[in-house]
Amino acid sequence: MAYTFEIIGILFLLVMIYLTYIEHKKSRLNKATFTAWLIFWLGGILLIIFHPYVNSIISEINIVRVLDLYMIMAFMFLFALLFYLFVIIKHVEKRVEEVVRRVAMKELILKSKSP
Amino acid sequence: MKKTAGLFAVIPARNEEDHLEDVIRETMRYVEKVIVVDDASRDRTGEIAEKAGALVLRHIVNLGLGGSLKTGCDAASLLGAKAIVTLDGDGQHDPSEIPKLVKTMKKNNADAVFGERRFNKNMPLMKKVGNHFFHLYSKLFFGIKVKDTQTGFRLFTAEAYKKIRWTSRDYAVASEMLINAENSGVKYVPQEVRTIYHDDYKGTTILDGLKIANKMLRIKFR
Repeated sequence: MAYTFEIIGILFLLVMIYLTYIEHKKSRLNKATFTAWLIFWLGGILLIIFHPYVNSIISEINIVRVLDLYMIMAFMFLFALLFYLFVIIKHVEKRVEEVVRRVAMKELILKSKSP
Repeated sequence: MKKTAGLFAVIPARNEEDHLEDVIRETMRYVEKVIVVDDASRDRTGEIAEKAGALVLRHIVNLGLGGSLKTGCDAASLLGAKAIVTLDGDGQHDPSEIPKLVKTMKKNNADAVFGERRFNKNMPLMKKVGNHFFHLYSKLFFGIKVKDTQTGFRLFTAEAYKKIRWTSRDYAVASEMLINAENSGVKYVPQEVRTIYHDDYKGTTILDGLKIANKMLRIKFR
């Protein structure tokens, strides 16, 4: 099949748009974040549909196929996401520790006040 | 034995209902107050500690050894402790040795006394190998002179605690405490202590050892 990659790619991105929409509906993603992800997925679809035009542009930067461009972009994006998640997890861990300690200390203060 | 005025004991405990009561009762003979930090235990640890007469602080979520020790030591400082002794809740440390640590502190005019276990046949082989590794590692990277870098039986003044207060939430706390003491000019001395390994002894795993080594490297380059 000549368009296998294109069909799989577009189906995947449509599913991702649906999942993003569901998360937005559940109020887990605010409007700005939802819009940013929507643009990201739609950009992917446009890249697949118009890849013959993209080919001529990317050949200028020594990337032979659109698929290669995808792979490069995907890796860059994944590493950036990994770093971002690492920072968030560290931050959340610190906040949880603070909260847990504060609750324990509050209990101590209440105990020391009670006769 | 007379209690040492201003000395508070901090015992981190997670699912330690088997040995905790004995540890608390014995420790209370030597210190002014015993603080137990129940690190989100699933058993009766907190209840047993309270019945035994300890002041119990509860973590609603498990923070780990370092996190529990920090909560306990913060509480001790808040309650006006002059010195803090830390020991494990699983009964591997003998509370009757607390006066020995106090004596060593006074004799050497030290800010901290770090317990040192004997690396004899009672110590499990993997533990022995791990301790030798951490001894060399700590000596090489940080110039730490204490042979046993991992024991939890330690005594320090409240003033010294402010300088050695750690960020580690896990077992790396033992090493970080030593590194902070070395870097902040806290005068510390080692003191040989007994260790009792029970059949249900939990302790650190190889994975914990790797985490400690990693944490130490991060401290070195922070």
